[in-house]
Amino acid sequence: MKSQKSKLGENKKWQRLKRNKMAIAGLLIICAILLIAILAPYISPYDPLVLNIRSRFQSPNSEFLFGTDNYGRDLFSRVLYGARVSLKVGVIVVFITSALGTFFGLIAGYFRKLDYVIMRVMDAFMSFPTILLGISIVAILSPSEMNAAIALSVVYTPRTTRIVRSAVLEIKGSEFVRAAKSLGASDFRIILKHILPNCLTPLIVQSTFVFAYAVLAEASLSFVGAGPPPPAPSWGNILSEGRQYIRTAPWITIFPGIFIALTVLGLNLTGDGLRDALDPKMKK
Amino acid sequence: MRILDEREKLLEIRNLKTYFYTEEGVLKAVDGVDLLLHSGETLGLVGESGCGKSVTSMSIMRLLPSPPGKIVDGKILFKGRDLAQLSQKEMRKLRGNDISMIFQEPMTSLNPVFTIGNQISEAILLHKDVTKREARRQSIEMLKKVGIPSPEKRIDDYPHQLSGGMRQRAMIALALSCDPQLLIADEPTTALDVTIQAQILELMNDLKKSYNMSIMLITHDLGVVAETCDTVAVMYAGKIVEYTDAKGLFGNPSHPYTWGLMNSIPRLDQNIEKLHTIAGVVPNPLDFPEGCKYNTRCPIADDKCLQQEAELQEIRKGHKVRCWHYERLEQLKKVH
Repeated sequence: MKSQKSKLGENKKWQRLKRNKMAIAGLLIICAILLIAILAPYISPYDPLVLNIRSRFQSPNSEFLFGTDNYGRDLFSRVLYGARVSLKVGVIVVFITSALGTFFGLIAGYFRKLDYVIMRVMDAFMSFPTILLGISIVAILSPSEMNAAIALSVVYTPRTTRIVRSAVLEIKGSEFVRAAKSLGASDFRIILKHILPNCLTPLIVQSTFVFAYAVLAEASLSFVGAGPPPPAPSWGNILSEGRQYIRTAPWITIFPGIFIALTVLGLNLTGDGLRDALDPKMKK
Repeated sequence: MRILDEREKLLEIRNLKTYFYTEEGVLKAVDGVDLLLHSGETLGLVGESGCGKSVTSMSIMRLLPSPPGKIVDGKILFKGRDLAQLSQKEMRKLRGNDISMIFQEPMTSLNPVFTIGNQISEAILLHKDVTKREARRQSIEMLKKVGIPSPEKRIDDYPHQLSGGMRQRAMIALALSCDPQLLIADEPTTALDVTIQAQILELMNDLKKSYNMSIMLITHDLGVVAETCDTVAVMYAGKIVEYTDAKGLFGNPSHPYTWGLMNSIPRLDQNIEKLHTIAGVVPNPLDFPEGCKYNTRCPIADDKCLQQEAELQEIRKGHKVRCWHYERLEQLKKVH
């Protein structure tokens, strides 16, 4: 009985999501890119790291689907492998920001005294331009995939914190929290049982956007050399290397660019769709 | 007087003062309130919005937003223990277990992401040492007692699947799940339509009898008071202005404010053009007038009222009024 009922509620949200064609398109894009990232070793025709000077700067043809770069590496394989880096960084950033953002947001929203301290620190972080802060942190930590993810998590945690905090403030004032207090529930219990579950909707939506930002920012970091160092392919560093040859071999920059744009588009569409589906109040 | 004393005093509030320290100044939301509630009785706390009735209840529960709210003075004796002195931890044990509360908005007083069964079980598990299964059984039992049909099925419903009246019943089940001796009902029927109102009030009366608990009913609806209360305290601007049994209040309202309220009720047996209202508005709590706080709106106020506030005095047995000129009111009543 119970599962049937809750399924009914889930179904409704799923129905709303399904009706939103853009959201479905976004979801399909994300799934496709996810599949590419997972299956990269099996579907890529060449080793992304093997140099082949004889076939450098080949424009896209039947042998090299996306062409080759200045070292003669197959661009198609490199872009496929690049998806792994981008998505891995994106996922790590989403996990860290959601965890930290929820933690700080719950505390800041619930305890007024800590609110001031936490939010001023978050404001301080937010006052730096995103990429600049990311580059500085990577510069301190040394460039690598993991460090790029850590840097971006630091950059995006304040945003998630703000969103969770505002949700907490709204829920804290609601009658059922008062009712829970009047029944003798402790602060800890109220936060975990009554406030957290009601914050999940904005958090999920925010997470998809953070994912998109992270993919984009990771590419930017790689572009300026603060991402995973070459020769390991990431969309950002492929793009960065291709920049010098943009007049003679534009495909080197175009293909990773398309993939970055597609991923971000897919995530944003999904995020918008989720927001409408999970929170119908926001629609109008 | 001896007979009165033999009833068990459940809650006795003495000279309660709850102030809010805001940036604009000290807001005396509750300023020296005395109340007495015997077990098995219903006490009505009546007044318009902002008169301090909800703050009184929140003071008892010790759930004031603090800061800025603070109990400055007074005693809240619950079965002899002064609640104002208890630690938050001790209070938590009391809340839900000995004193429970139901709220105005049944639409929002249940957590939307959990089933009602889950929420009632949670309250039971919090205060009683029982298994989850037993808690669920007791929850079904509670839902049955508050008159929710087929409780075995309804227990797995989410709040949004219930109607307003059903939600308020579920809320009452939640509040009563640990057999409290005192139920504070903060405008429990205001958000409900009239037929459901009557059902909920009847339910509360029945439960009161079967559990032998006391109810403190906070309302601005005199009709509700007439139906349910044994004693009534009328509050105005943080103070009690009239305190008596329900019969005395309706039979012989002796404070001009109470009398004004009664006069404002539309009556079916009279044909009048315009409804009577009390002139003016409630004074700003940051800027109460000198003397009697009702003097800005009172039809019989004179110089004395402008200078000095009257004490709550017993004008006949069991009937207390805070007014200098309660006798003069009798003449006014004849005119109207």
